[in-house]
Amino acid sequence: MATKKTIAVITSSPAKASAIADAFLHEKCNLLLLANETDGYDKVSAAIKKKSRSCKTEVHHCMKDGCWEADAIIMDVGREDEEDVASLIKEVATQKVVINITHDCDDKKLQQLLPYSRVTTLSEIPSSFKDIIGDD
Amino acid sequence: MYELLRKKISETIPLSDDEFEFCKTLFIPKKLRKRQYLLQEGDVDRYTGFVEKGLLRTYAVDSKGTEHILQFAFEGWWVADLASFLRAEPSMLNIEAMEECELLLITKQSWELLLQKIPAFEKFFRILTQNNLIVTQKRLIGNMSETAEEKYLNFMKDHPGCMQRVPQRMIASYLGITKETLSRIRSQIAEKSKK
Repeated sequence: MATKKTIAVITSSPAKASAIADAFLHEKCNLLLLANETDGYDKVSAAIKKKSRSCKTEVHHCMKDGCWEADAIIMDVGREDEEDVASLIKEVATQKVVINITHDCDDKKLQQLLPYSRVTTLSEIPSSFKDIIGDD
Repeated sequence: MYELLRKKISETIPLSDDEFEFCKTLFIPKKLRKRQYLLQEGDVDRYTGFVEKGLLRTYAVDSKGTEHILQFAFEGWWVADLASFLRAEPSMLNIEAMEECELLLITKQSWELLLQKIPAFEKFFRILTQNNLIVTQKRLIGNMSETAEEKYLNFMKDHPGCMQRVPQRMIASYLGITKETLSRIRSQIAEKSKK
């Protein structure tokens, strides 16, 4: 039996959350959709529930608590919000995998903001995050 | 988040602020919800966990589907399947949160780095392992020689405040007796205390 992984997804829009969640449709995991303003995220969560039996989703407005609970964190927030989000989650992201989705693939800024996390930068959302997060 | 960890470490070894700051960078903060698993049978235990808040139970399930509780882990306790953690072999145990928990987890790799960078942790983990061995030995002898009532009274002495947090059926499972026997023992003890 494999313990279910919990993945925190921090995005600047419900559409981005939906695109990331789609990569987890066939995974046995808990997805926590995190945003300051959660309007529109409930629809994403409901859509995932319809599409997947194995992937459970929840919407939360508290990023720190969500990332504290998570085994891995995926961020797609835009450069201007990176610093604010990093300062909120820094304390609870130690030693966790943090995947930053940004068009600037050489960006080392987030790793500097989260020095004790394992930051991976991607230019686009992959079809699966399994290789990065691990499935054990 | 790290106060209890620091307190517990400092009870055994002296640790400077710098050393503790380094130590903090190796631990993974993790929240578990009630009934969520830290480890499930068949998985390799990748972490040793320190309980900052909450309560967990470690248990095995036999071929008849009966649960046998090996350990309750309260605040300030460490929890892991050491055999699986150290040998990277599939675990025979399950570790489940009985309440909402806040844990600090460390991987074997980080644990080894900690021992390498701060050798005083060798002493800390040696004493921790010694204490664990003593408790396990006492429990084994108790299981072989004590009456059910003695087992229960010793459990209550070693786990004060447990009655409010652990259901009776789980205490019975930990003691290796049925919940009916536990209920009878508790009634007998209550009767004796009235006299």
